[in-house]
Amino acid sequence: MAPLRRRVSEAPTASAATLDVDALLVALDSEDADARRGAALSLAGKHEAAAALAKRLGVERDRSVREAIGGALLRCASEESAHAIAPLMSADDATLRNEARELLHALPHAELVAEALLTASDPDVRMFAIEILATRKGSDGAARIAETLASERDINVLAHAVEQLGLVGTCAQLELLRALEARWPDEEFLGFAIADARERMQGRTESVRGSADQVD
Amino acid sequence: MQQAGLNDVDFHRVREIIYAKTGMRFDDTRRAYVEKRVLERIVATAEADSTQYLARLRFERSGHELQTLINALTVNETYFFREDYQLHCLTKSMLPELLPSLKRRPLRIWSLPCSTGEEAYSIAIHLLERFDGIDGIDVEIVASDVDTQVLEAARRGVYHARSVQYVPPALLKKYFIAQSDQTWRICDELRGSIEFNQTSIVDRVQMLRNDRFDVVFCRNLLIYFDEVSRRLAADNIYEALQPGGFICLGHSESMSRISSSFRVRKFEDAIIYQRPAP
Repeated sequence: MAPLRRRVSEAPTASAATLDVDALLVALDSEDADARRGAALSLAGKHEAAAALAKRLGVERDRSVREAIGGALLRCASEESAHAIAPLMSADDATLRNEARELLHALPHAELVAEALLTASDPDVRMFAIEILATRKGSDGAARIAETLASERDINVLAHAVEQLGLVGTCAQLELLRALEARWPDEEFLGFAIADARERMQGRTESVRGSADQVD
Repeated sequence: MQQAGLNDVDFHRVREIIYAKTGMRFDDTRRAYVEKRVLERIVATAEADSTQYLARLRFERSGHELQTLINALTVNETYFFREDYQLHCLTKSMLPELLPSLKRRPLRIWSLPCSTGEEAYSIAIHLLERFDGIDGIDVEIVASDVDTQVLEAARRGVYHARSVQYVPPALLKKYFIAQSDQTWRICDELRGSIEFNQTSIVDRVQMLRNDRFDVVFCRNLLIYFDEVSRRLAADNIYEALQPGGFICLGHSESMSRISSSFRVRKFEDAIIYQRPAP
């Protein structure tokens, strides 16, 4: 059994784990990927580093460092993280946009940046903002999505908003859907989306009424 | 009088304390499981109620009670040669790839979490029995867990019949000593060859203290974590692996769903994840 040997753990060597925030921010731009990854992992949960982490994510090419930065931003779980990540939604790099999208979806404060994203020039970003609004608790998100129906001009964004409204809206928004249908009479595709959303919203309202009747 | 249950606020607080320390997220569906153990600990510590107990969890300097509660909440059931197809993969596929990169340093293998030690001892026995090149290299096996109680059991190395049911009789005779109470104790030489220590996979400093490994066995742990903890654990494992090192997960787990940092390797016996070599 000689080949198996026991070694007692040593104390951690000097590493990114023991540096202060300023030193870690410098290390985040190091030429060495291990040093950048280590810095990102050590900056996890440090709100003041959110902007620097997001900036680095925007240029980082090493996959494992990107993962570490994403995880660090998630662990901040802060408004700062959401604001820092939001601009990446408009990046030219599709991979980066997807990463930013996944991170924002996972962050509890994403709805705080949804308003700003609703005015983005990129329709995909506006669609994402609508998805985030749909996750808002209560009727607030549905009401805000309904408002976008009046101002939005891109047919794909509109259809997406209608679909999301179908998931979270109530009968209070049905009139808006009728108005939208009247505004786009030649868009058969939008008509289908509206019919589907209307059915879901009415079904949900009836189900709520039914539950209330049972309670009574 | 014994408290009947935890209110929502206290349940939420206990859950957050455990989460911060271990990465394990207990959702509402596991509330009864958590409550039962917390209430048992309130009685055992003679605290007046959950408020007092929570204060103890938070502020006790030694952290002893928090550790005891963690011990009570962790799932530790395992047995020798569980998911042994990965052990076959280790000797048939992973080691032949790793050996050239070792040069003169030892091969390092990590069992994390090790629970009561069955996995770490299984790895050791499998290497000794099934790896032809074992006499030509040094091997270090480290076994870690967040639960101090199971680590003690792992160090003792005494197992009931159920734990050793899949150990072939010849190996049972060779590496275990039958005890008078129908348990089996791992032979001293094997016990002495494995290092056991307390490590939480979400604690980066503790992870770094263990240095780098060529193979990490981290099976059936990440399923208890939420997305944030899973990502953190994956980052920490990546950092703990030598470039080119392998990470073995449980059969229902997928690293691809957690992190894109690892390369998927489809070997004859198992799908394993690898930290890419430069």
